[in-house]
Amino acid sequence: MAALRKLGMELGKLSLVKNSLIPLQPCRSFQTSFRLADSIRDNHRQGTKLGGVQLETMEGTTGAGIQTSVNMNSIEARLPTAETLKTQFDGIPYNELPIVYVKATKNNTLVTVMDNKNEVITYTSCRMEGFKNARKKTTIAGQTTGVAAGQRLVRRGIRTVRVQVKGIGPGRMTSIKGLTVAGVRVVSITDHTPLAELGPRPRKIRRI
Amino acid sequence: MVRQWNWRGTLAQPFAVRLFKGIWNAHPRFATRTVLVQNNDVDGAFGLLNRLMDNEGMLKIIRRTQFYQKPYMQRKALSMEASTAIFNEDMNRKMKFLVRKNRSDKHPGQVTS
Repeated sequence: MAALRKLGMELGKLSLVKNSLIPLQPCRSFQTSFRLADSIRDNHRQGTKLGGVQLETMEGTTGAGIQTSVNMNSIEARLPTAETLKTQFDGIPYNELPIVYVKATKNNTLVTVMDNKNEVITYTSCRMEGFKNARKKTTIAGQTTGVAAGQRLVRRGIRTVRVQVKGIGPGRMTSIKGLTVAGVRVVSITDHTPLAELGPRPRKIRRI
Repeated sequence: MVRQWNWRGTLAQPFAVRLFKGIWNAHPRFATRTVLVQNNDVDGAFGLLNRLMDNEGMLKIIRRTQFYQKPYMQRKALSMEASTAIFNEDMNRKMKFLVRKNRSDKHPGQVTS
């Protein structure tokens, strides 16, 4: 019985197999029964619960994982090449476009716009847009910040930018969306999140 | 192989290419981890960027390095990963065998396409 149950469980897991070589679409779906309630001891042996670590949600990472579908067509055309740096976008070469630096942290979203000489054009943050304390860490605050930055850019006559995003937080995607809402053309999106793989030892796990 | 000390205890790097400090800042900025936006479709571009980053394991690094994992957690995560990989490999082979086809009609007897 236990073996049967285990087999059912594994078949259930199958649809979640990542990077599976089998195209799951054309196969007919087969039914699996619900997982029966196991004893506490079985549950205990299932796997390790990494308390707190895996519960943390990663906001702004839509498209990761197999749950959402991503248009992977003409992927080569959507990745930059050496010629991209010299390509003109609205009459400006790519490497002379102003850069929008977005720092999307867990608690805040900061947007700085610089030109190619590293001179600050404008700066804004969730707090400057009127969000205080815990409201700063919402997606709406991120979107508002993006819209505000975009409006300032449009006022200065800047309508084409490239974007560099740092960090994973609620403002990661929404602030860029806000830029486009304000009428700014985003040419490219670059991720520049630090990877602390070998870096300083991170803080200890939160206990909530 | 020289084992470099790191905060993850005695575990060696699980990558083919050895990482070093500041690797994320070592390469030309707008050449890597960049996606061009077509027709101002930011969501589509972000979806592609996130998908590629996830496939390359960068999101995993970010997630794993948010908090310090105690050595027992590191060991267990590693063994879980290894056993999952073995299971996946086996199950993929099994499924490939089960769904193998040698007929012109993919779904015989099916009326609609």
